[in-house]
Formats: sequence, structure tokens, C-alpha cells
Amino acid sequence: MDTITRRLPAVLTAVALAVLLAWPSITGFYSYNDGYYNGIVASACISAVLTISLNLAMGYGGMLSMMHTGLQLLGGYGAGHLVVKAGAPWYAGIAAGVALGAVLSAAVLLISLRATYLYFGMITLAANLIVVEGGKEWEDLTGGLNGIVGIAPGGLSKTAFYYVVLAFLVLTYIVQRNLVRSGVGRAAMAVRESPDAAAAMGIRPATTKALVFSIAGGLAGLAGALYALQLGFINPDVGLLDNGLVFFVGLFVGGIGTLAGPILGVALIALLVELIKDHARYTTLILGVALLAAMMVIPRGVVGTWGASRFGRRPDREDTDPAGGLPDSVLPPPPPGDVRPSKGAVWSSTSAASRPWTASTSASAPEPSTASSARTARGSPPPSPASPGSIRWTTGRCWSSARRPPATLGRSRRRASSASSRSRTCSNSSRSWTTC
Amino acid sequence: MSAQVWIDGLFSGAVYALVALGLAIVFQPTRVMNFAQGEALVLGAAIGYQLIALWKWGWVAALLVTLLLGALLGVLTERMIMLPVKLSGSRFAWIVATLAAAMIFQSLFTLRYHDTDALRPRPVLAGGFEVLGERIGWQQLLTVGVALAVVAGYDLFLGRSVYGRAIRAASHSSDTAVILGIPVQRIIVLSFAIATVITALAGVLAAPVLFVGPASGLLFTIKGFTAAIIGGVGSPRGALAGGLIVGLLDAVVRNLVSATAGNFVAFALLALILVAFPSGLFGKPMAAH
Repeated sequence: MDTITRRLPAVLTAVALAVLLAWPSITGFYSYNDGYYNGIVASACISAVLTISLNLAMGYGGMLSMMHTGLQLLGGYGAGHLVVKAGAPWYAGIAAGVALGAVLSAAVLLISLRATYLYFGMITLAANLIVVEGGKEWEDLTGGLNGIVGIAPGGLSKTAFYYVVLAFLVLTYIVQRNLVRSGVGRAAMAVRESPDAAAAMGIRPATTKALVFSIAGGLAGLAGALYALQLGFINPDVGLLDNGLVFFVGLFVGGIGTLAGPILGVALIALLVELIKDHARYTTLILGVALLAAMMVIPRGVVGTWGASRFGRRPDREDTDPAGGLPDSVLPPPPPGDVRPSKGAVWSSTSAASRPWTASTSASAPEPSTASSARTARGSPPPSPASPGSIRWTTGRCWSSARRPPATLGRSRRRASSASSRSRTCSNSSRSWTTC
Repeated sequence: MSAQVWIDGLFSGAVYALVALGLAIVFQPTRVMNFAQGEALVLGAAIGYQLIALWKWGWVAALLVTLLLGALLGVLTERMIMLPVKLSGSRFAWIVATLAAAMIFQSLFTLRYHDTDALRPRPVLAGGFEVLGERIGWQQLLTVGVALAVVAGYDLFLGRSVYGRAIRAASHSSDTAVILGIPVQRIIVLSFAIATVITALAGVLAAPVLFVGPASGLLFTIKGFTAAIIGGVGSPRGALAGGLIVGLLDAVVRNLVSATAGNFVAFALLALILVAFPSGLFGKPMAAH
């Protein structure tokens, strides 16, 4: 039983992939209206690409983005303009969409690095509106209110393009999975939790955010280009925030911050919309009510709730941290004045990174600061007052009071107090310990 | 460019200021930017249209019904938004919940008034007067006056009354406020109700002059956001200043360049101000939450 439930996601994935691959043949065999059903699934795949992009930005990067519909519009304009007006092949259009999306999102992120959470969201909202208004105004490039029509992947049939879309969805998923599991992804999640603590660990918050947000923007541009090529048109209405609700719904129903959540959520929404298509007037109403209900019943989405449930949880041995820890050469021992845990003992908060520290041997020479900064950063027990006055520990920077000129001391005290008012994390980079 | 443009800008600025005030009132104790705020304005316009234009009940009845339904809508919105936000642990829950609430109300209004282009009742005060050759509608004057009075009144309420102090305490730290015996839950409901009533009132006043369609709630929300953020979220006076800035700028640019350029410039200004002053012109720096 246990094995079955654990293998269920893999089996379902395989089945879903097989069905998706065979879908044109299935609809061609069973339905006279196969083009319609192929189109629905292709559109859902494109929405899934956009939702994965949104998941990267919001779920993993922690950056509230309200410009994803605008990025989609921009990608669509890039593809449409290149394919229809310049006569380029469709893959050039897709490349242009990706590039435009990545450039716009990188630009928006770079000019708004100082803005926090809510205000960053407002800047992205403004950027979205600017893209939409610009699309309405700049008629030479975008066709104004009517948009660009007649976009087609030249030389490809609808069925062939269906497989192109499917391939891009798989590619996007792989990009997401590999990014999240790479160092960049881990860094992005650390920055999401606390930029200050991440900076103390040697992560550059700005670079990480810019990287993740541009990749998300590129994927959104890809979704826009695919959208334009699939439906054959693009107009400013695509960029309206109202359309963005579907992606938010898909993300939250599937599970924000999970790998498979976006795809599953979009699939559920597409299924729901298809089921109630006879009452199309009520689609928005039903979607809104479904979203509110889903947020209350399955707060972490389908995938998140499954992962937290008894069936989806990994068995204990898989969940443990990799053994071994870091090599001793990179691990400075704890400060001399501190209470040092005995070998194998574990601090009260056994986070993964504090464990190698506890495992480090007591033999090496006292070079205290990193351990202390790591400690201050993650809120472990404070240093014991064993040797007061000899060495002070503040927010990742240490100094002996004799060596420090008073002016600098005052400055870093101010800095320390301002830093400690911000949830006691240290904003210095971890490089500062080398100065001690 | 005539002075008429400035008068129109001042009028629409007053409406945006009221929406921004509603947003600020909800934001203070809950830290939720309510995307459904503009729907209250559409509700006001719809009540005006239904009662004054269709049923001919007169505007006294319309104002009373606006008060009643506005408060009801506020309590309903509070349930629809705060319940999912509390139950869902995600920090992005508020945006999804408020967007969903906005979409639900928008589709309800669209279903009810699907054959109506603009919800346009007769003005509360018809006619106007002329100053230096410029025509000022009584309705416009009334709206600006009401906006000033409401902002001043809420500012006084916030600063002087016991409830205002409780709201400020709850917005500062809701946990501490609970320990001190302040009923934070009731304050949140009250804030939603007050905000919705104020915005619905703006709808009744704005609908005869401005274009308010059944689906234009989100547009007004976004204009209100712009105003609230330019002014700095959380202060009534900032909301008034931001609203007037947005309204005047919108009208002037619209007149000088073209219709869509007004929106373009307003949003570009929003982005610029946020880049230069990350917490608004009059706002205090806000910690990420």
C-alpha cells in the first residue's frame, strides 16, 4: 500500500504524458471536432508554461509579479511582428518572444531593486499597464487595438504545432525543476525567506533575484509567443490583469512553490472551464468561487496538500540530510569563549547548515567569526557570556575593541543596531569575517 | 488647455482619492491591498442607476440604500477575503483572494447589467454655475466637497476617537493590540465596512459625470492604488494628495496629448515615484511582510 501511494505521482505522470502524446490520435479517432479538442489542450499547455513562470517568480523567488499577462502580451507581439510583418520563421518568433520577456522583466527588476514586497508588486502592475497601453498606442508595431492577426507557424500543421507546444511545456518543466534544484534555485529560496540572512551566507540577493526573474520573464515571453502562434492573433486585451486571474487560480489550486503544482492546477482549471462551457457567462463567477473555496479547503494546493498528507510524505530515510557535511577545510571551529557542543550533539534548531558545524571537530585553531555569524544569522542560541569584553559579536562582524578606531566602532554600532532592529539578521556579507 | 480641464481633473481626482482612502482604511489593520475596492464604487453607481434612473426613488433613498448595502458588501468582502487569507498560509494569499473577490463581484455586476453600457443616474445636484466663464457642475463641487469632508473626518476619527486609536494600535501590531484587549477582529470588519461605504458613496457621486461601467471596477481600483501609493499607503491625507495628483495629471495629459496617454503617464509616474521613493511620497518605510 505504501509503495503504491508513493509511486502514484510517477505513474500518473507517465499516464498523463502518454495521453498527451496520443491526444491528437485519440481525438482524431473519436471526434469529428478534433481540432477543437487539440486546441483546448494546446492552450492549456501554453497556460501551464505561463503558470510555471509565475511559480518561479512568486513561489520560488518570492517576487509578487502582476506583469505576467503583460509579458505574455509582449512575447506575443514579438512573435507576431516577426512572423507576420517581417516574414521570419516561427522559431525566430519564439526566440524573439523569449528575449523580449527576459529583457523586460530584467529591466523592471533592476529599476525596482529597492522596492520591497508589496511595492515591487505595484511596480510590476504599473509595468503591465504600460505594456498594455503601449500596445494600444504603437500601431506600427502592434496593430493598435486590433492587434496582429494571421500569425501562423508557417509550414507546420496544427497537429505538428501541438507537439511543438507539448515539447516546450516539457522543456519548461525541466528548466523549472533543474533551476529549483540547482544552486541558483536554493539561493533564490534563501533570498525569498530573508534577503539579509541570505546575504550573510554569501548569496547576492540582487543577482539571484535578477536571474530568477529574467528566467521567469523569458518563460512568460515563450508562453506569449506560443499563444500568438497557436491562436493566430494577439491584441492588447491579452495583457489585461483580468486574464491573469486564471493563472493565479491555476497556481494556487495546484500548489504554489511546488514543481508539478502549476501544471496540475492549470489542467484542473481547463477541465472545469470545459465542463461548464454551456454556461460560459458564469465562468468567471464559478472560477472565483472555486478559487476561494480551494484556498480554504486545500490551502497549500493539490500538490502541497498531497505532499503534506500521510500518503505523499516521504519515508524518513529519504528525508534526512546528506551525510558527511562540509569538509573541515571550509569549516572554522567555534569561538573559544562559547559553549561548544560535544561531538555529535545537536543545537536546538537543527537546520541543515548548522549540523556540519556541530560535527566539526574541536581540534582546529580558534578562528571564530564565521561560526558566530552563521549562528547570529539563523537565530541559534546566543554566545554564552563566558569571556565578556574580549571579543564582541555583532551581526556577523567581529572586532576586538582594542584594535578598532572609535569612529568606525560607532558607525558599525549604528549599523548593528539598525540591523538588529530588522529581525536580528546580519546584512553584511559573510566575507567580512576574513578581516578579523 | 482651458481651466475646464483642471476642474475635471480635480473632480476625478476627488473620486480616486476616495477609492484610495478606502484602500488605505482596509490596508491599515489587515496589510491587505484590496483589489475588490473598485467593485464598491461600481456598487454605488449601480444603486444610483437602479434607484434614481430606473425606479425614480430620489437620491435620499439612494444614499440610504448605499449606506446599507455598502456596509453589507463590506462585511461580505471581509469574509470572502480574510477567511481564505487566514486559512491559507501563503504570503501571496491576499492578492489571489482579493482578485477572486473582485472577479466575483465584477461578473455579478456584468450579469445583472449586461445590456447597460454606462451606469449613469441623474446627478444629485443638477445644473451648475459659472465662474470667470468656466462652467462648474454642482455635482462636481459636491463631490470634491464630500471628498475633502470625508478625508478630514476620517483623519479626525483616526486621531481623536477611541476607535481610531484602536485601529492605529491594531495596524501597528495586531498581536499586541489583542493582548491589550482591543477587539482586532471587530476592527477589521469595521474597517472593511467603512471603506466600502466610503467607496460606494464615491460611486453614487461619480457615476453621473464619470464613465462607470459594470466591469470597470478593476480600473478604478488600479487608479486608486496609484493614488494611494503615490500618497503613501496608510495615511488619509496622503490618499487625498495622491488622488488629486493622479486626477489632475490624468486630465491634463489627456487634454494635451491623447486619451490613452493619460493612463500611460499616470502609470509611468507611479513606476517612477516607486523607484525614487520606494514607500511613496508621504509614506513611512514599510517592512516586507
